[in-house]
Amino acid sequence: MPRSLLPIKSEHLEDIRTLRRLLRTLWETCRCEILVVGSVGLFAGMLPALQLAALRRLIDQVLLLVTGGSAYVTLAPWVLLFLCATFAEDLLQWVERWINDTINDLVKARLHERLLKHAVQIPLRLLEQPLCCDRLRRAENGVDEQLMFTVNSLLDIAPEFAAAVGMVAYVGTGSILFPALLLLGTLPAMAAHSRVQKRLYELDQAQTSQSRDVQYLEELLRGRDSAPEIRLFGLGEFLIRRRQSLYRAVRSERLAIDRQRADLQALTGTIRVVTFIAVAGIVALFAEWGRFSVGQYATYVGATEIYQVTVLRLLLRTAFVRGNLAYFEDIESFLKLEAAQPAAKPPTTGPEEQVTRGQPAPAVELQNVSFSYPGSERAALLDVSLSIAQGETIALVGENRSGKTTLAKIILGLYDPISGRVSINGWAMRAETGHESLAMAALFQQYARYQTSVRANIGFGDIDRLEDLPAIRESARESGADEFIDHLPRRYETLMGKGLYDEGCDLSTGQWQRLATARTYFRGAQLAVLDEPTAALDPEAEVEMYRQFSRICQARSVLLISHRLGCAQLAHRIVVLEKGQVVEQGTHEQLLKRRGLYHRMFEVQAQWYR
Amino acid sequence: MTAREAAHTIRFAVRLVWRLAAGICSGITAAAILDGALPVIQALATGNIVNLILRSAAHGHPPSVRLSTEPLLVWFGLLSAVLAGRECLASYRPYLGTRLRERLQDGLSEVLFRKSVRLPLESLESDDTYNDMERAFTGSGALHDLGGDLIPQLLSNLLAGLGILALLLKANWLIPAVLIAGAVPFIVWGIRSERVTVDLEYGQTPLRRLADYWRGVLTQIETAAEVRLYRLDRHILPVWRDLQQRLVREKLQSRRRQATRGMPERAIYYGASGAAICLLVQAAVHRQVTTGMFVALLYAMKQYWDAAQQLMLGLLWTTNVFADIQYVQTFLDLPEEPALEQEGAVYPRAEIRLENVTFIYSGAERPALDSINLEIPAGQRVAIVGENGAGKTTLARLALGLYRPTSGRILINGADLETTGRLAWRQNCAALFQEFMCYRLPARENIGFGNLRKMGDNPTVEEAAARSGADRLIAALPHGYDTRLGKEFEDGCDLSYGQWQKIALARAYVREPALLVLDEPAAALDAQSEQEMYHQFRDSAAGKTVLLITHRLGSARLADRVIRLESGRVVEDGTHEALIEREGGYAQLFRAQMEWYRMADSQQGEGLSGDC
Repeated sequence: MPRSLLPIKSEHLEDIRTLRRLLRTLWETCRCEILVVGSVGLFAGMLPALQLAALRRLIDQVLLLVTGGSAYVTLAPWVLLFLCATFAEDLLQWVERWINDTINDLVKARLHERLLKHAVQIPLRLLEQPLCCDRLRRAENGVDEQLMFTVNSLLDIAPEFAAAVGMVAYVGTGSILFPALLLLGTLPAMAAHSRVQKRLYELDQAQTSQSRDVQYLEELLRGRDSAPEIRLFGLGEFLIRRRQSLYRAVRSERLAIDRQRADLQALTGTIRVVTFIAVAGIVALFAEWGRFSVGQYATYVGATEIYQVTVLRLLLRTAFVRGNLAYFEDIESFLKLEAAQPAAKPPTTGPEEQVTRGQPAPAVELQNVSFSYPGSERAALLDVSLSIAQGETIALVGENRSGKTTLAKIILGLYDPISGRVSINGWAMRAETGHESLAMAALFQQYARYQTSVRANIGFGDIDRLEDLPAIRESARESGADEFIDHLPRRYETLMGKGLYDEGCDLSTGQWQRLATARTYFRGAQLAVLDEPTAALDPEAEVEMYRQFSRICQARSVLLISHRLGCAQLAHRIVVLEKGQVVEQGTHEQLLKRRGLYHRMFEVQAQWYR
Repeated sequence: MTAREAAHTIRFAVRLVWRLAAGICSGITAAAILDGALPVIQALATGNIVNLILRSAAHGHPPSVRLSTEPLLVWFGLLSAVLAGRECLASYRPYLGTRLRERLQDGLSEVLFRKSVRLPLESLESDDTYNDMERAFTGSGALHDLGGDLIPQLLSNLLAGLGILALLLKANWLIPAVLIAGAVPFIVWGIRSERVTVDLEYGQTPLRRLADYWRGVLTQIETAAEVRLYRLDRHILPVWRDLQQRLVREKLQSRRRQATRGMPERAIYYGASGAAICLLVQAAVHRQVTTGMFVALLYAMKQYWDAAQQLMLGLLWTTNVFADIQYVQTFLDLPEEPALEQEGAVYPRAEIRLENVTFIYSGAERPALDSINLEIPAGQRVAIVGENGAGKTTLARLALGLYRPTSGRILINGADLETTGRLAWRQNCAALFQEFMCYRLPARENIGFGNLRKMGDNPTVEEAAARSGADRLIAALPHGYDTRLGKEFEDGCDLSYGQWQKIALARAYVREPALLVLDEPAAALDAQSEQEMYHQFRDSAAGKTVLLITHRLGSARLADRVIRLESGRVVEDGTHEALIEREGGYAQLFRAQMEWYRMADSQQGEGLSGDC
């Protein structure tokens, strides 16, 4: 059987290694609490044996007293000892409970922190994949829910073990066979437990995506964003029914396992009772034959029950911890996901210095860059070469899906090109967080709306200057956000986010966009990417924004993505993308003369204003 | 909470639980009662076994062995049955509890979701409603706990405790009295101490939500790009850590305070238990109980303590869930829109009239719309322009029957919307909202949601897709109309914003509405699609009333009429040409926008002449 033994063994070893890492995490997080809870637990574990010893004497003394062979006084020490042991156990258990809670809180916080630290380092390309999302969700869920039970059980193992050892010693006084028989009686229960637990975990894994579906439908039903459409289109009832059927499908599988668990538990529990009764019966005969005193008999039976229950609990906990290590492994497997390489430090000589050397490198240079999204066969970008000079403004135009946003994300270093080379200021970009030290700013089409103060919403453009209110004001002025900010109750300190803060405000889409624009300006970047910056602005604001545009472009290179071809004229050069390739480039006039794609698109828009 | 409120809440909870799961409830209750009765039988059996052993030991050994074995076997048999019964109950009771939870969750979530989709939209703009909803959903878990665990636990522990107390009563009436008297302060303290914990949890909710929000910013896809670009984690991670540490610290402090309190109550409890044991010993010595019963009762006393503690915990949780159940109650009591009784009227054409309509968002000081009087004849295409916050979207939502005016009337074909029913009217409306939904579902459903009755009707869905221009992009998807959209799910196909918008537009078209609202439809469209879009607006079927909210004044030219709003009032109203002639705000803006293209025009003209 060596062949079948080997994998089992390696599996055990793997579990032990995981357990060791979990223990290390615990130990590093709350050494002191663990020491306290461990010693308290060990002490509490000794007490049942003490209780029983006192009880035995007590019963025997009472019998003696009944037959008139003793005085009340002889009872006192035993009553006292029994009470002390009982109450001490109660008290210690209570202490244990709250230290365990504390350990849980600390461990949870620590693991969440590790997850977060890792999550922000995962490349965007990877994070955008559903598989990665699932993993993150599983890991977070593991920390929030499953791990707590695991840690609690783990902490309980030591005291229960102490209690079991004490009871073995007690029960062993009858016959050495008794502990063995009783132990045997608990084994089926444990086997059943492990089996069910494994099935539950497998089911959890298999149902992750279905559960996500259910969750998504629930979000739709409760969400604020979906509320108007649900009411207008009368989707409520339909979505409720769909959620219900999906939910029931998910649950019925789970209930089947629960049923199986109950059946197995009842069966194995009965087996355990049979062994207990067998031992109790034999001991009753012992007592009849006078081998045991009545006190001894009574406490022995009590000890038998405590022993068996303790052993069972110990085994179950061990099995439970082992089964639940899978959740810890989920957490670890997320933590092992590829993180972005640490940033390559650009040379300390800044671009200014390079300029003085008379060789100004282009701000951005793309050579034969291709990119496709994971899981998609179509190339989002194909062999694109482009260079943006220092201070140059480029307008990137093209139809939906022509690759404009992808190109922007590559330039920003958010995606790694599949092939080709990107260099910034003559410095090759190598990894996906490769240029945090280079000042780049972006206003994305789907910009973030941070639920925090107005100041921070702008200041997030450069978190090192978060407190620099004059500069933040200046950026707000540039973007035109200052007008509405001045009307907010606490101006720059007004908190955004109605659900999160008591006095949280909300803004209109256009106002949010101006905040996001201000954030981009605040970055003070050498390269700014503006992805449809005026999409939700009202006409006045749009006109105003484009008036400011030339000023914004003064000190930096700008890549402007826009559907409004009218404003593309503001750029020094217009680049037209079609299906991931650069098809035209030149000035507005040049492109109109070419009568190509740009000319067609321009004509379409210009006709509205003739 | 007053006793009357509590009684009201209990009645509400019990009625709800009973209505949703009467069968399982009775099963669980029966099992709990049985489980509660077993400890007493166990004590009786143990007592008799010990007595039998004592008796036979007193008679001297060999001849009596066989005689006393028979009753001994009977009692042992009973004991085994009791123990096996307890094992089985211990296995099946949680299972029944799970079943009940499932049933309750199933039924209750249906009730809650139905409630949430029936709340009027304007009430959802208020955070109070939204918070009520959140609390109700969280609180609904309390009802599962109550029915599945708490009440059965309370019942069986109460029965077990009472049974043992009754046995002890036989020994000495003082014993149960002392035990009960000693437990009362302890239980009261326990409940109060748990209250503190719960209050802390509640008090921490805002902070916890904030911490969760920041965690979300760091882990969600929507914010991932900015977080990476601006290295926001350097700022947000410490912010989150501070919040988290504060939360943990507060909890630890509160727990430490709790730990040092309650000692007197505990001492009373222990003292009373000690006294009870002494009394029991005394009763045994005075032969008020048999020795066997004495031994059994000593063990039973331990079970009584367990039961009392469990009872205390159960009571604690029951008081905790009260607040949660009240949230559910509050939420279910919120006013809702009247349900649609019959199919509702069909409006082939709709003339919309607003009479003195004012709308104020709850909590807002300034009306979003201020005494609007407007008449839109059937089939008119109206462009609504104005600054952000001028009330354009509010006006559209009122016309769609999504909001109820704060004052004034909305008349459709001369009939007041309040009397004919807004729900029925809505069935004749469609809209492409500025923040339209991107359903992470198959393309067919994304479009079909506009008209659920026609969702299975492929030609209708495809025709709508063709009209919005979504057909081409769907044809390029791996599974056509059955492709799941959105990359959040496996096999999902990601779309760009503009593509999503085409899908959303198809959803509006699939309805064949009498009123169509397009809220900034071209915001994210490329030039070609924008043109198609506006052509459709222009050519939209006769009889259809269209409201176009737009920032691109060029597109307003296509409308029969342009309305300009400012601060919730209509400031300009007329055809494009009339407004241009009027030289008001509209004309100025139009010129400003036109500049870009005019300039290009002239240059282009030069270019062309050069070519010639």
